[in-house]
Amino acid sequence: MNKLNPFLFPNTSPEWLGLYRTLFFGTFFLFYFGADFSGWGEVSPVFWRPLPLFTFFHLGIASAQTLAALQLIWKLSLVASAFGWHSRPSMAVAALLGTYLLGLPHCFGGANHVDNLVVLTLLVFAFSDAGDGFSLDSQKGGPRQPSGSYGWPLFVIRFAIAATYFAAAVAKLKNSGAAWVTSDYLRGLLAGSYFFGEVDTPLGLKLARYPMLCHLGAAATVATELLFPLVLFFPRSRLVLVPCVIFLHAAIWFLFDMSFAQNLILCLFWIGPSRLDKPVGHFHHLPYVWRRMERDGNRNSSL
Amino acid sequence: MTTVTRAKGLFFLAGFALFFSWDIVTGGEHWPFGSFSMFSRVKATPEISRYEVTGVADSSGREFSLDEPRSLSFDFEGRGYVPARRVLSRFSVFDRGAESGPNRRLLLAEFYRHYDRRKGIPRIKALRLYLVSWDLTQWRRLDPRLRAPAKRTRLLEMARADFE
Repeated sequence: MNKLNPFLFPNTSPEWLGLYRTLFFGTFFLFYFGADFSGWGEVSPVFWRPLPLFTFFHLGIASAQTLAALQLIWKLSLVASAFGWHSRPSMAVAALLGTYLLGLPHCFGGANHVDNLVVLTLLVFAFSDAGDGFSLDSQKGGPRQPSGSYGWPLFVIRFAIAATYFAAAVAKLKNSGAAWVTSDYLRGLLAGSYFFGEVDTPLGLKLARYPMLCHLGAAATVATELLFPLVLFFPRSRLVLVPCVIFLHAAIWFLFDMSFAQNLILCLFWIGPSRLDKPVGHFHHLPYVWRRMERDGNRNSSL
Repeated sequence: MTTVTRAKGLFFLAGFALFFSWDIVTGGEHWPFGSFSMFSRVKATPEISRYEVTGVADSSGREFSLDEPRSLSFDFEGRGYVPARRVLSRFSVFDRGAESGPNRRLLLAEFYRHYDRRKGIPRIKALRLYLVSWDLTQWRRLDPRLRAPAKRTRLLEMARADFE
């Protein structure tokens, strides 16, 4: 257990966790600003196929008016959480309503994987002390010291992201083995997305003409997904694996018209220095010249 | 760091690890966790295929595709329209095993009701299901101009009268 401590409970400044909180809630407020979930209240219950989570908690379809009210409260809670205003209740409301509203569309005939990581991140933040830094709440209390209690939420969120990619790789290898790379499956997907009318650009079809390129693409996909958990324990590997994942999502978006925009946004959790125990404004990682200027400035002002 | 904080961190990590592992091993889906197995099963055939749904116009008997998301289909997702193929296959409406099931009757009646609410599209008297496929063995001929499928097989026709 002690060996896990530096990873699960790294000494982290409350400001860093607060900054991630602001970026996460702020970005997803903008992302979901125009989303309207109230239409689901008008879909016939004939189509209702609740997720196990909804069955377990006996959650049903609310009326269109109730859904409209709930989504307004949810969006306000996202803003409040971004600013760190009454952070604990705001993040708790954001998690509860977010799980319900984002889960609702999956209860009408099959779940997809576009927003599951958003829900998991909301849940982690709801139980964290992310309002202690970089927030309106933190203006009231005194400064807080870096601690492991600000580190675990980041590790758990990153763990969930890494587990998602790892699971996707395992599914490919488990269900198809090496054939996922060596067969013409990816070529078929590329050609199919054009023939099926899912994309207008024939680029995928053109790529499908080059079998070796498709095999390489398939191998790179599996390798990126399989190796992605390394970023949890080897920060330097982020420099390679995170851009690979961004490129993978961009290619899927362009070639198959599947955006996974939420997963792309969540890449924000890989931005920043590997050690987060210094305040956000601490310039120790900046180039020598900058540090020298900063030091000289301080010396001059103290004279 | 307090014991409660430590317990919270361990609880979340263990919980996430457990749910993810369970779904990875069993191939299950427990949203928001899952096995993320989409597009993981390689198909052995050199063909690519998909379903296509068409509607038969009530007045003229003309057949037209219900697969175009931008032009018609079904106000299913609240803020947009999705192809009929996707909606109906999600609910296994075309599953032959469920052919005589009361659920299928309800689903199709509801589908027609949603469809009729749309304005500016012809009323339909029947739905037809096709399997359309392209042959990948002739990959050198993957020409953008050859978008039409190599094969189109009608699987099923469901008249509105049978479901009202």
